[in-house]
Amino acid sequence: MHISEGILSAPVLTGGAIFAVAATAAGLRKLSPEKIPQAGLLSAAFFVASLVHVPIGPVSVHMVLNGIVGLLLGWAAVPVIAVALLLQAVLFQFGGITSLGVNTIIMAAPAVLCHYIFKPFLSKNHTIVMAAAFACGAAAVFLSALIAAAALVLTGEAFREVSAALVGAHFFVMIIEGIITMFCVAFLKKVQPSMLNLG
Amino acid sequence: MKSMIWSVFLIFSLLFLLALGPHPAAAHGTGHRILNPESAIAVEFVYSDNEPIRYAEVLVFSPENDEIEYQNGRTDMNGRFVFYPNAPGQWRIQANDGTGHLVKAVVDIEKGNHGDTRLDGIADDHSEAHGHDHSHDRLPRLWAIILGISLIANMFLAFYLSKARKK
Repeated sequence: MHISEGILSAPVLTGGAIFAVAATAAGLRKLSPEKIPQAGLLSAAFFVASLVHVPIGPVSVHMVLNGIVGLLLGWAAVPVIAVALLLQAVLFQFGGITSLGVNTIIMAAPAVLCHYIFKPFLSKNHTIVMAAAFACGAAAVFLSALIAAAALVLTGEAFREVSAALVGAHFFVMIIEGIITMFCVAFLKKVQPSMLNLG
Repeated sequence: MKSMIWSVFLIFSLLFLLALGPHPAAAHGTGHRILNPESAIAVEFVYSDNEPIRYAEVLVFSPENDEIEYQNGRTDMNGRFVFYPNAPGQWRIQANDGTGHLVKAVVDIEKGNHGDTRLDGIADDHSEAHGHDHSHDRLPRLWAIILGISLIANMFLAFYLSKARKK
């Protein structure tokens, strides 16, 4: 889901970079000192998750984890994801430096959106919490695929084909991410409910 | 008799004119030749986990023309693509899997020789060139992961300290 160097047009790259810088600044402002260790941990998890590749049919996809990061951190997910993406670009050539802004928006915007959509359900009964956690993990990947498709479309690709390819390739990732998010939320609710900020 | 001669003359004239004119609907014969594989350039495109980039769109640019591709096509199910360069110089081959992953390869073709293949702008998740030894100029994967986690820890610690000091 990381877009490489040399694919997107200059206006898309510039627009993505501007939005990413603004969102990162907003996220850093919202990141309280108490949340920083948690943010660091989630950033490391996000960084490593992208290295786990799952071969599905003719394509190879990787874990994303932006759903759980967004659910736990809200706006603070943006700098967390940006840092992980920067290091992935530098150390593994995943994505790229010029496409860092766009890639940050692709991963972080759904994370923030899912936080506001699914967080209110975490204080409901167990079944609803589990369903919301699953939907959060799956929806974050789905929305990321759509934004990535939109970025490619703005550079001249055909939306229907690109989005179908991206969503199709990530369908199983959506399910896996949904299950991972569900287990994480169930675990945190049991051992460390304060991390979910249900108060 | 005279009219028969005229008829034959007309038919031959018509056939002659048809033979001279354009043949938009004429069928071509077909055939094939097995070419010498030694003069072909075969490139394999892989993701960083060595998974082949299957059925990716490939564009090949010759040294003379950087804009219009010399050849286009797709990688096979093993991520491989083969083409026959027709001139010496630097050839560019790029594979795009349509989901944001682009790999560029450069091949130096010497006169009467195929030269050396190297990956140029390797991108996204997908960096290592199978069979090429660009991996030696990168950190081993495990060390890169450890370095990345360490850098994240240090960045967030520095941020924590700066926020704590402001308080």
